[in-house]
Formats: sequence, C-alpha cells, structure tokens
Amino acid sequence: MSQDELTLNDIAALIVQIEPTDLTDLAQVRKALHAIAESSSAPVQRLAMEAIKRIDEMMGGKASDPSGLLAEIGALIEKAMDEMEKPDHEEISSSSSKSGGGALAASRDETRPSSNLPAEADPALLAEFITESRDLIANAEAALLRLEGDPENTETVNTIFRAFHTIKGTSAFLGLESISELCHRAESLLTRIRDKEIRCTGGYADLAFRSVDMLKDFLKIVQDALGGEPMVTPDGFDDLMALLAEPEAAATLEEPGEAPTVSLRLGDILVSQGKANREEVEAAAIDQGNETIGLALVRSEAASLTEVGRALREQRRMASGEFAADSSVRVRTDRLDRLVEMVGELVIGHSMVAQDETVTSGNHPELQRKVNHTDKIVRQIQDLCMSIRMVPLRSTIHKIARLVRDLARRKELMVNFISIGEDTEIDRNMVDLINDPLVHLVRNALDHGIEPPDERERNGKPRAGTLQLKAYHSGGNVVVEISDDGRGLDREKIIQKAIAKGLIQSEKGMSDSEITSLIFQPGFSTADKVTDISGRGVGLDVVRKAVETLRGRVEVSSELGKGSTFCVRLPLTMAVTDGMLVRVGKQRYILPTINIDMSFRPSPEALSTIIGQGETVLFKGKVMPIFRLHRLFNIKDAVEDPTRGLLIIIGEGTERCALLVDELVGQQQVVAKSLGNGIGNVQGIAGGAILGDGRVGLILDPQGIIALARQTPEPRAAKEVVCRQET
Amino acid sequence: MNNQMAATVSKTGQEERATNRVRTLKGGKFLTFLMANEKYGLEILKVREIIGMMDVTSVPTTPAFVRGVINLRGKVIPVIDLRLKFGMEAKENTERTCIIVVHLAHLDQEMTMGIIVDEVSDVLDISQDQIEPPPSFGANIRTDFILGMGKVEQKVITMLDIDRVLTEQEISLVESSAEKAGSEPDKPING
Repeated sequence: MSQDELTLNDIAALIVQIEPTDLTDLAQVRKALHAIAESSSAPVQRLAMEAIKRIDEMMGGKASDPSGLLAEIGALIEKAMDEMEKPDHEEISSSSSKSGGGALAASRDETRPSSNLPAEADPALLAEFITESRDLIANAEAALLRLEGDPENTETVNTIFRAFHTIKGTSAFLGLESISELCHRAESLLTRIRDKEIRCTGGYADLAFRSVDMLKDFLKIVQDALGGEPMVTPDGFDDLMALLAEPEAAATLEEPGEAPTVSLRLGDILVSQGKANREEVEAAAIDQGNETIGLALVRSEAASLTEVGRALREQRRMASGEFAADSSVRVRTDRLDRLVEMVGELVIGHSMVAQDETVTSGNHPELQRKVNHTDKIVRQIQDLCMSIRMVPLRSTIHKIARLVRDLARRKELMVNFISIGEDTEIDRNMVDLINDPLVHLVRNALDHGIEPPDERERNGKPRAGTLQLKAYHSGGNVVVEISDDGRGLDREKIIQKAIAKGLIQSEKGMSDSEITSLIFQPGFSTADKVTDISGRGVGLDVVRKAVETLRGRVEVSSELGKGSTFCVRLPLTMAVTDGMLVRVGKQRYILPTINIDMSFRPSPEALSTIIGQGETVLFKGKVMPIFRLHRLFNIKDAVEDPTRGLLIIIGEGTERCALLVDELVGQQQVVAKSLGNGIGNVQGIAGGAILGDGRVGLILDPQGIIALARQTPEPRAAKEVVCRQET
Repeated sequence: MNNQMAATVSKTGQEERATNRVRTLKGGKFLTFLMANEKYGLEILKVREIIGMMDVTSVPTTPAFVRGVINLRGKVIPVIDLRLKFGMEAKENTERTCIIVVHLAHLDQEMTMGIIVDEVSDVLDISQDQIEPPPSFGANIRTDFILGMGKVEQKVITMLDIDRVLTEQEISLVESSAEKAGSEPDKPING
C-alpha cells in the first residue's frame, strides 16, 4: 500500500505501535496526515493540521514528553475519525481532554445500525475474518488477564488495542457495523487506560472482559449467519454499548475492593516450582518493608539467590507475552489428517519392502543399504507428522484462567491462579475434548475447594487461595494436575455418604485412595452434596467418563483442610492407540492396553461354574465371570479350554470380567480408524487399524464386549428355554 | 430400430419410476460385471476403482453379506458380498473375483464401500433409448434397486441402483440384527 492511501484508521494503528523516537515512521504518519488534510472537510483538516504540528514538535526534538505528545496525536486522530464518519456534525468539541472517547461514542448512539449480514459480503472473507478474529480475541483475552495483574503494563494495553483495532477495521470493511462500533467503543476505553486516565482493574476490567465476550458472541452470530441463520444482535449489546460510552455513569469503579489476581508474583512462581514454601514466602512478604520481595526472600532464607534469579527471569518471560508466535501457516485439518494417514501407509509400505526376501537375503548389500537409508527418512517423516498435529495447551489454559477470574469474582473468593507448562503439547484433536473435564474440575475446586477469604483467615491460611494448573509430559502421557489449597476431602463424610448411597457396605479394608476415588462413582453426586463443608462431587463421574473416553485416567489425592489435587492423565494423542494384539482362531484383534488389567493362564482349580452354566475364574481372591470371545464373535477353530488359552481381565468394579482368547501375539501401536459409514456401529468393536502386514485388525471395545456378553445367551441356557417352551 | 417407439417406452418407464423414486436413469457409461452368469451394470461415476481380491478382515456380529473390512491405502472400508446380498449362493474366490470400490452419497452421508463380484466385464456406452424399465415379477422378486434393463447386442444388463442396494436396506438390516441381539438377552435367563 502506498503512503498516500493510508486511511485515518491505518494511521491510528501506526500511532499505537510507533516509537516516539522513530523519525521514519513519524515522517510517514505526517505525510499521510497531509494527504488526508488536503482531501477532507474543514473540521478533519483542522484536526489533522493540529496533529501534524505535534509531530513536527516531536521530530524537532523539542518535545519534553514525546509519549504524551504521541497520545495527544492519537486522540486527535480519533476525533478526526469520528468527524469523518459523521460529516454532518459541524461542531467539534473544543475540549482538550485527551480522549473523550466515551462522550464521542455516546453522541453517536442514535445511529445504531441494523443488524443484517451485509448482502455483498463474501462468505470466504467472512470465514477468514472469523478465524482471524478468534485468534486476536484469544490474544487480547490473555493480555487482559495479564493487565489486570499488572495494570501499569502499557505494552499489554497495546496488544489488546491492536486486536480491537484490527477487528474494527476488518469488520467495517465487511460492513459489520455493530461489531466495528463495539470495537470502537472498546478502543476508547482502552485509550483511557493507555493514557493512564483510568486503571484496568475492577469495574473497568470487567467492562473490557465483557467487550471481549460480546465480540465472541458476535463472531458466533456471524458464523451462524453464514450458515443461513438470521443475523441478530447478541443479548445485552445495547447495555454494554451504553456502559462503554459512559462507564462512570453506571458507577463503574476502579477498585472493587480486593481484586482477584492472576498471578505473576515472584513468590507464587517460587512456590509453584517447589523452591520455597508458601508460609515462608508470606512471612517474607510481610517483613519486606522497603526491600523488593526478591531481596526479602533471599534475606529470610525462604529461597536461594539463584532460585530467585531464575524465578525473576521466568516472571519476565511470562509477562513479556509469549504469544508472539513463530511464523506459521494455516492448513486445513482434513488435509493434515490425510497427510498423517498417508505417512502411516508409507511406513507400512516401506516395512513391507524392507522385509521382502530380496532385501533381507543378504545377496544385495547395496539394496539393503538403500532400504535402510530410506527407512531413516521415513521414520523422520513420521515423527514430523506426529509433531505437526501437536499444539500447546496454552489456549486451553488461558480459557481456564479467564474462567477462574470470573468465577472467583462472582463467588467473592480471592484466588491466585498459577499455570505451569502452557507449552505442553497435545494432539490437536484432543485439545477441545479435554477442555470440558478440566473446566469441570476447576469449577469444582472453586465451588467446593477454596474457602471465602474470611474463613481462610480463621483457619490460619492466607486470604487468597491458590489454584494451580500444572501440565507436563510423563511417560508418553500428558498429565494435567489441578490443585487447590482449600478444604480438601473429608474421608469420614465420603464414607458415610457412600454407605448411605449403597456404594459400599463398610470402609473396612479400603485404602485412602480407594475411598477418595469413590467421589468419581456415578450416583455419588446425583442428590445433595456431601455437606457444605466437604461438598465435593458435583458431577465428578461425568469428568471421569469424559476422561475415560479419551483413554485417560483421573485420580485424586487430598488432605483434609490442606487442599486436593486432581490429576488427569491422558495419552498424547487419540490417533495412536497402544494395544495388545490377541489371536482368536484365525482372527487377530487389538485390545487397547489401557483397558487391560492383567492377563494370565488359569490353573484348572481356579475354574468353576455356577448353576452348571456360568463360567467363573478365581483370581487373587476375587471371582469373576469368564466370557469367551470366540463364542461372542462366532469364531471357529478357537481354543475351547481356558487352561490352554489366555484370560484377560477387563472392566472395572462390577463390570470386571475375564475374556478368553487363544494367545497374546504382541504389543503394537496402531492408528485407530472408523470402519466406515456403511457398516455403522458394531457392538464390541471400537474401530479398525492397519496392522504391520497391511491387513485390517479390529480394535476391541471392552465395554461393548461386556454388554454383548450379557446379552448373548449361553448356548446351553438357550436350549433350556426351548425345552421349557415345548413342555 | 424404431427410435420413436423406444422413446415412448423409456418415457413410460420414467413415469413409472417417478412414482417410487426421484432419480431417473439417463444414458451414459456403465461398468458391467458378471455374477452367476448374469450381467449387471453400474453407473461409471459411482465407481472409484477396481481392485483384485484381497484379504478381508471379517467383522463379527454383522449380517453374512458383510464380508468385512479391507485396507484401501490406509482407509478402512467395508466390503459387501453382492452374491449373498442378492440371496445367491456363495462362491469360492477365483482369480477373477474383484472388489469394485464405489463412492456413494446418500442422505448427506458419504461413504466408500467395496462390493465383491465374480468378474468385471467392460465399460459400455448405453444410451437412454436402450434402457427399459425393470419388469415386474410381483412380490416374489424385489426390483426396487434396479434402475432399468439395458439391452446391448441382444443381451440384457441389469442396471443397479447401487445407492439403494448398499444404503437403505443395508442400514436397516444392520440395525435389525442389532435389535435382535438387543431384544433377546434377558429372556432365557428369566424365563
């Protein structure tokens, strides 16, 4: 774009990003302003000339306060923009107030645009706009959260400003007037924050968050509108617009009392890294006097100098906004999936070549060398492909940070949210799926875990509770730990409740972990909560179900009065399943390793039957039914005698049972695929996978098999029924 | 050949079909194949590819005509035995046994499926006036998945409405077998 074509919009964007000392940029702005002044109406011209005068001052180096001047220029341009949009508005307010954004916006209130998806808008452009805006909003949201913890950070304000500004520009271009107007007003609010006229805390922060939420609603509506839905204005739009216009009118205040903080504090970082303990840090914080907290920490020996130094660097890194993302391209996910699929095929195809007799015979060393070389390349491609699918958990964690903030405010709790390991990567297909269970757990921690400030103080805890979300990789799994320092689980209450619910007879012989995991039982939570004091258990069975469908596990550990930790363990990717290859007759099946408890060959004494029909096996003091896979699936030539086959224990609790197969062939990682639409759902089969020899292997679904076994009448039982009917 | 007459025939055929299905058959290229010495035709646009017989992994608890699933270059697709589907006798695989991979779009669902046939014959150009409506056999023989009868060189080719063959009845059959399994369970135990 040539400079002459810069609009006021572009100039405003430039001003936000400009360094007061950058003469080239200033010159560019000056030139653009000139061009605009020449081609505009009188009021705009006057404003533009005014701005040019300021720029001249700055360029001459005469200005004592370049940043202040820059802000003034920004305000002037903003006014000029308003002026341009309202050519009939003759009089400019002569007020020298720097922004006046609120008042100006209010004066434009009567021109509320009608909400219709502009007829001429290009659907492809709109779709692009939606994705782009989503990213920007996500960034802005993260920045807002940081800003609330550190209201003085101008760079963060600019990030948010840029997001709103870009969306404003694009939406105006696309004719989405409501959105651009919303952005405009939000910008006005941000200008005031940037100019240090107000601080981004309390009511103002809420307002900013609400604007972001409103934008999200709008994007959703635009997306629906693309699908043919009518375009409507989201609920509360008018209220928000009025509020944004006159925040003070609605008694919006800076200080809401005690604002929940999203932690960037040095002490929290140290505690979360396990380098210091909370009590010592709190003590040091009280004694710190005029010293910086870091110094106080070292002096009180709560942490070593190196540790504090490291934590300081970490703090700076967290504050500097890591989302300045590396350059990247967008790729359609279906193409990516296809690529991964094809690479999987390539690996199989290649291993078939590598295992070909011609290669392995040793008569062609040259050929073997080449095949080995290709082998390395193929493996690298496979690794690369898997890594392409991985995305960091950052956006999920940011969403949760937002949730914590809102919930804490609503419930009047003080919560420090600490997140560790935002860079932990997970398969992109999993990201959306883990969101719900995590949100549930966080909600749970805030609803029942962390006490109100006064109660905490009475119990000798710091007023602000700590909620920590920690994500890391461990042994091929992604682990997300959500820990709070709240009430913790009350063992006795759980036992009482479980007995009352008929889940257990007595707590005898139950370990602590067995008892705490009772809270994941369905039915534990259906009725009233345990008590007000240790009322964990709102839909925790839902969490467990969701995690298990992701082939993961959720565990809890807790100490009464000290807090609880929920640990969610998930596989890195859903695409690859760790499985055991089992043989039944001539068929081979894959049983996901996570479903297997144990496998063994029973001794004849361990086997018995019930009423002459139901086969059972005694294993480690527990009796469980035997289901024969070959009978369920009607497979011929399978091992009939359990003592010659292999029993695999699957299922949990009352579902526990032993599955009879012929033998274990080996362990294999497979890529799970659907069997195709044509065949639909097959009971007992979770999907298919391509095995090493290129054939399709079926992946077993233990739950389905158990259900199938319960349905399929045993042959002998069926005969009995027939006899009875005959007599 | 009397063009005018053929045209009227095909027109009445169209009217007849219009009563029970929306699609009407136009002339075009057809892939023909043999099963039990009968010749069948498929619209060529439905056909993705023809592959030789390969190992089929059988899927338990599905109807007999579902032979199982195969690996089509990394995709798992179901394979139907058309002989069993049509109630003919099963036949051992021969060197000529083929899998025709067809792509169907049915009620917003897209699916790729393989159908096992005895032998693929050739691709024929059949014009609309060579196509007759299916004859009616009454209730004994179902003809609702036949689009029409093609007449080429004094031979008759049965034109299949492959969407119908593989989808509607397919799904209902699979479902009914699941239902059967689901409705029976408790009876023997309780009664």
